Amino acid sequence: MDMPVEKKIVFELNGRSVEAIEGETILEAADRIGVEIPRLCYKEGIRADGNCRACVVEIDGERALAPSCCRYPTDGMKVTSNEGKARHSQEMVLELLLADMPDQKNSPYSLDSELDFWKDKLGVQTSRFPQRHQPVEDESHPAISVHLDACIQCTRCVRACREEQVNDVIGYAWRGTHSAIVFDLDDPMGTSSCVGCGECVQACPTGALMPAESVGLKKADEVVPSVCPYCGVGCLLNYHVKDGKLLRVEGRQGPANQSRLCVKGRYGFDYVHHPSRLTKPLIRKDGVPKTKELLNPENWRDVFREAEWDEALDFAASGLKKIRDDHGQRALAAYGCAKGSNEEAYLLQKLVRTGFGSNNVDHCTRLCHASSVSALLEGIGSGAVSNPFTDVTDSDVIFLIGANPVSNHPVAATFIKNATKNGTKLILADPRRSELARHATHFLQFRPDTDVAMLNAMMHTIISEGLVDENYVSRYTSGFEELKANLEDYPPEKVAPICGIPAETLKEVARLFAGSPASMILWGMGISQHIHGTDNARCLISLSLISGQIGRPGTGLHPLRGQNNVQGASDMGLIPMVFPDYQSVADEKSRKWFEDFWGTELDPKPGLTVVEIMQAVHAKEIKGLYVEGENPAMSDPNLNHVREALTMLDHLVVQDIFLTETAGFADVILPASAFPEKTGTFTNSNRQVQLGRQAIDPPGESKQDWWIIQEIARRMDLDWNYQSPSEVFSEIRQATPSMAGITWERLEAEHSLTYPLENEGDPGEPVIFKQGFPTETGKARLVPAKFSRADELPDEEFPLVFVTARQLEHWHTGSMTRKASVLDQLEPEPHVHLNPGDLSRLGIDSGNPVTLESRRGSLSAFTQEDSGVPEGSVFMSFAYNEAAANLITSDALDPFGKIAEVKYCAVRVTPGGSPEMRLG
Amino acid sequence: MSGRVKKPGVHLAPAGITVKELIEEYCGGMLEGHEFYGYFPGGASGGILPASLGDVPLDFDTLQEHGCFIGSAAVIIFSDQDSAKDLAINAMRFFEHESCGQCTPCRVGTGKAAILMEQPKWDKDLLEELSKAMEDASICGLGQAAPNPIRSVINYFPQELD
Repeated sequence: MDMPVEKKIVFELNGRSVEAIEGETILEAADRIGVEIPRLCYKEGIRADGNCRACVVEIDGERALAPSCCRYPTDGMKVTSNEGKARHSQEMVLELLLADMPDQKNSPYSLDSELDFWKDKLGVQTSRFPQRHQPVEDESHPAISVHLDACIQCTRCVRACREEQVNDVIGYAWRGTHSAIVFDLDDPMGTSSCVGCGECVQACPTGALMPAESVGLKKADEVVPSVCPYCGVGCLLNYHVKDGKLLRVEGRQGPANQSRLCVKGRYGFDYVHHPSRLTKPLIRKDGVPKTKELLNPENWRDVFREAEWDEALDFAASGLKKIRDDHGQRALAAYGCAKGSNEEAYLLQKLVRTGFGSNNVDHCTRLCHASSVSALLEGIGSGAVSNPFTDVTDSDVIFLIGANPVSNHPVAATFIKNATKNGTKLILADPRRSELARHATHFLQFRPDTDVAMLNAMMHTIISEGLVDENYVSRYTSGFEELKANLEDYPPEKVAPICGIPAETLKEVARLFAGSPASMILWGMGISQHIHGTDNARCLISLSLISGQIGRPGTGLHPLRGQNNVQGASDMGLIPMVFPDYQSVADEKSRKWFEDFWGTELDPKPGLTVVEIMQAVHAKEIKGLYVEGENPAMSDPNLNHVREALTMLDHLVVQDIFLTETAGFADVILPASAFPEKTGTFTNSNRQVQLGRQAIDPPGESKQDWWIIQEIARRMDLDWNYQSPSEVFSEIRQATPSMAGITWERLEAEHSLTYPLENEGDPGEPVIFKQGFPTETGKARLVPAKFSRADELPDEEFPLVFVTARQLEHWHTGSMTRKASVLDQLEPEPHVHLNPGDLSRLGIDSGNPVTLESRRGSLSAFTQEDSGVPEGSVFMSFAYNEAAANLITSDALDPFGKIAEVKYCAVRVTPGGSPEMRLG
Repeated sequence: MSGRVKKPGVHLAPAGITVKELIEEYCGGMLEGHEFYGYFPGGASGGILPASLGDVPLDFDTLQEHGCFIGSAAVIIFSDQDSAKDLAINAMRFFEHESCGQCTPCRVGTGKAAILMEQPKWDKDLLEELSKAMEDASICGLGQAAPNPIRSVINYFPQELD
């Protein structure tokens, strides 16, 4: 086969013959051969705009100069950049801009102002022009200082805000010398609709937009490339470190973020330096009883005493060991953590399986995508995504359901917005109108809990209108006839009154989805967190398969994973049914392999899941629990039941960086390390295994998590002697065939590698299922799903539907983000979101307090009017201990994924009440 | 036709006509008490010519050699009671206001030029350096032509600068 030949263009630059690659600008070609041309409004990764005119060059035969950043060379073109007219204008542009800098000198707001760099380079030391009337500073945002007296109006911030992040906050207003960068309608930044992503700060060349408190003027001792600790997007970033502390964070080029970050990743890092970090092991004082009330961390001395590590580890391990020896192996359980590294997850599950002697190990994936994973494993033999979310830029249609990525996967959302700006059609289906709705071609605000009916109606249309990809279905799937028979019950006309979407709309989006060249499905916890979550996901899988919309770039299935390492923790077998790489514990062959590999007998019985563990505590079957990094006293459904269980444990070991709500129930607390304090691998939603590098030391006597797990293991008679995370990783490669080809050295060099990567040197596969599926037959299984209702429907007593959601500024239970100063300032208190109609029916003014009650618990918080919330529903984030949403939620489980239905339960709202006191 | 003439307004005249013919044949001559001193041959951007160049044919490509252009053919006549310098400043303030603000040479250049032109003594060298960059490096015609009034005053009305 002939390879396409890269076309070369030969042109002359400053008298020198240059070969440019087709598609390269004059500026890029010059950069490549080391010819320096000044530039200010140009920044790699942002659309070139050519407005500053600092990069102008003279082209033979042309009257005016041309901006080299957006001019492409042609064969034979003669270009001059370093003398004559071109150099004169370059210098004059720099002198004009210097005139308007504070004191007509170097930027006082940045140590690496690009204007200063280029004016020095070209020898423009002073400006002969008078200065403009300078604008005043704007310090209204907690994270970003605005000093437009250093603004050169290059509009890099505008393009970053509008074209990269597509937040559409920053604008360029007025004309001529009055032209100005504005936020919304010239509002102060802090009161504008700015979401604080800081992309503008990263884009600004002069420090006019800079991190608050003059952070930009401090020089870092060290810059450590690492990964963001928050969501499953897996943005790469740089930690700037000074005097052993994190100074600031900047986005770094990575496959999942292209240097972008969100407000959490960029400004939510100082939790690591919070004064309430645990720095010494704590042991519960003799005779202090455990009660259901949360412990105020300030009063920790009433309950705990400090201990040395040896004592604390002996105490932790001996307590666990005693329960194992007295009550049997299944009397112990562990909660691992999707925030920890692959190495930590691997070690913890190995400890439980080989040291505790059971499979009672689980983590927050159970509350997240367990149902999606069970449907995916059943249907296509793999629990991971088929395509990276960045593939949406290759999609013609995006079907996004039950997800609010603008808040929960903000950087992934930017790629969706980029795609819609580029003509990709977005079908957004969600009971709550989110920010993405304004980018959607079709917004389906369907009734909560009716996913299966709606999705079945779409498939009904695809079949009845002959839109099935029959070739694909016969080649790569089984069970089509059963699926088809089931779908007969779901004509759109019948489903429309159930889901609240007109039949014609259901048909239109079905046609659009099935008929496009490439359609991608992305979903979130609106799909998974139901007792029919597995059914919901089965429908999405079937929708994709019968339309043949999988296995190519831009088309496939992508459940947006929540935590930064929920994919990795699951891959490592931190779940009760499977060993690493999803090898079933019940399968004799897999178990035998791991028995040989780990040199010990293993329990063939799948263990208990997160919610089942708490139920087993109540049933007195589980007596000892090791919680590494999780916070079930906030994150788990039906908190009154969970907190009661925590008081009933004979022995609770908690390993964390803070005295969390859960830690207050502990017998012993082991102080651990935060993300920037450790090295390890983390796997994002795209199956990208990425290297997090230690930037700072853990505070006080706190220790690395892998070290703590190993010390517990040793005290439970396991002969472990790992010296480093990289050594653990070597063992992971052996236990995890799909990652067997990933080497630590290559991760250090390349930062991010995509699995499956089975052999060293393989490139990794971003798009999978190109030729069938990893099932026994190679075919996917179409599994019919019948419409069923939630466990607890509204009634007269509890007339509204309660839905837990999340918000941009806070992560999960808030244990990190509420201790991050910027995030806490942006969103300091809990709110109950209600539709304006419901608010007026209840006689409540927005902002006034209400009390929420369900059959399980109650809370009080302030209301927030939210027209995106459908009537009859109440939305709330679960990050706040003073009004913990999970006091309300139901622990009814999906029978397959064992996920709790935290997206639906019945609730009553009454005016009045006052929130509890915030703890910590 | 606008300015110090008896009959300002829109007139239909053949290409190649001179400004003197326009004043006399179409505009009823200069206003009483006003003597023809100079003119803008083509709107605010087209430069400024002195009365001594009142016989140049007005058409496309006939004014280049004098540093001007016909542009929109919106001709402005001024008299001995006017100052070319003041009119040039007025034009520059107009450009500053009209500049869209996109590119540096025009956005910043028009504003700085106006301030420099309002100084009692013009820094002619600096104004010429600035004019060159505005002409060569501005994105569109507004910024590229904005220096025309500066150069016209320097070339044709030097007496006003002393």
